Amino acid sequence: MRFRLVDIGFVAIGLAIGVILSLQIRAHPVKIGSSALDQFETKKAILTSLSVEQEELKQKLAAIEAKKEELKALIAGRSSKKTVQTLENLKELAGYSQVTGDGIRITLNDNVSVTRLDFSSINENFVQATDLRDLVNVLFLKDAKAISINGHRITPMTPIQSVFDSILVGSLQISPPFTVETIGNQTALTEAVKNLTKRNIQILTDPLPSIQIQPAQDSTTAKFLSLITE
Amino acid sequence: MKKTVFITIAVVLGILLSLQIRSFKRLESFIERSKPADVLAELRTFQVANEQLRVRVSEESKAVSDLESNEQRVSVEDEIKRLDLLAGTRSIAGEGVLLTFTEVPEEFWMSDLVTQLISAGAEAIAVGDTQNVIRLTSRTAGFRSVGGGLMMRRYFLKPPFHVIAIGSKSELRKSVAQEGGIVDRITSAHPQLKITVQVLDRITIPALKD
Repeated sequence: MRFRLVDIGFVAIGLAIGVILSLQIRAHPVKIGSSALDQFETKKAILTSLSVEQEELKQKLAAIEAKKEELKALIAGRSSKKTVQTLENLKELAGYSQVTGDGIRITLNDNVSVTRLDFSSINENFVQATDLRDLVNVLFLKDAKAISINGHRITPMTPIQSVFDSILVGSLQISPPFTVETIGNQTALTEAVKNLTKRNIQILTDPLPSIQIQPAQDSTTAKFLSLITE
Repeated sequence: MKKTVFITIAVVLGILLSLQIRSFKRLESFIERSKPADVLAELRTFQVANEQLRVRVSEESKAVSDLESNEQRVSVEDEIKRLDLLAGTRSIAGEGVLLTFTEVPEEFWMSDLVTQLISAGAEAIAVGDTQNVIRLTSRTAGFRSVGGGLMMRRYFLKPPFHVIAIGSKSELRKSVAQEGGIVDRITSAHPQLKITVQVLDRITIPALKD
């Protein structure tokens, strides 16, 4: 009698486990999980959509800016010489004018042994935002007259920061190879590159007799600034 | 003979160990600077960048329609006014933050701090000591730590020195003083260095001298 009760108990437990298991198997899988793989895929999807959005915005902006420049040139033609001169001087000081001259081109690229994928680019084989920041800092120290990275003018007020596997220059996303063009004394500017030679990345330096660096495009706001009358 | 061998082995091991420690420290500082704060912060950076681009697109569109609707004189004068504030040739004022450093860190920390401030919306930045306040422009940019002081292109600044940023004071404070932020990173790399962050309703930055 006692053994029979134990048997029934075991059978009941077995049935309960069976029911729970079958319910579990029939359950719909959770779409958004918290596993590392799911997080990775989600991150990748968000980044892709942000990159696509950025490309569209870049194209819109380029078209509007081209039109604006055209109109500004028309207006400058109608303004007084003094006003135009004042505007040009200020533009030059703030980095909003084109600069031409001799200088160097520095090309930075990741080590040939690695690929920039899967958010793994924080190691010595990849070009980091910090490399570009340090290089720009030293180039300014060497009296660079103008600097650009992948065609975008860099002023001391242009932030260079990393976002996952890419780098943002101002608000614009750029990817390797990173071409830094700079105008100034070629010997002094070439010295600046020596600071990066301890890294496991590819660095190429070419002196160029004529470089044209475009005006800065980021229209820094001045909402919090007011002039002090001296 | 045995003793000499032991001494040689000890010396070689000592050298190897010190080389290993140096290389580890270099890597540690590299990772400390380059590691992302967190995934959400990085995504936010990207989102903010796109928001800024969207704002630029709408501002530039407005500028184009202003230009087209014959507000030409106003537009040139507005541009001169804006550049007057940005070029460094005039003294300016505004709300912002004042960071005071008791000592000079390596120059890369200065670049990192400036980047952080600009990303948080700083519209003007200056670095100064008790003698000089130098606005950051393309004529003064370039930091180098030297002889216990800080070279800013041709200006030599002695500690204690200040970093001034004009912009939204709450945003600027949040960006530098947050836990694990740039101030924490600098002070954890330099425990003897103290950084104080003051939020001010009005800070002035003088015009650059010729």
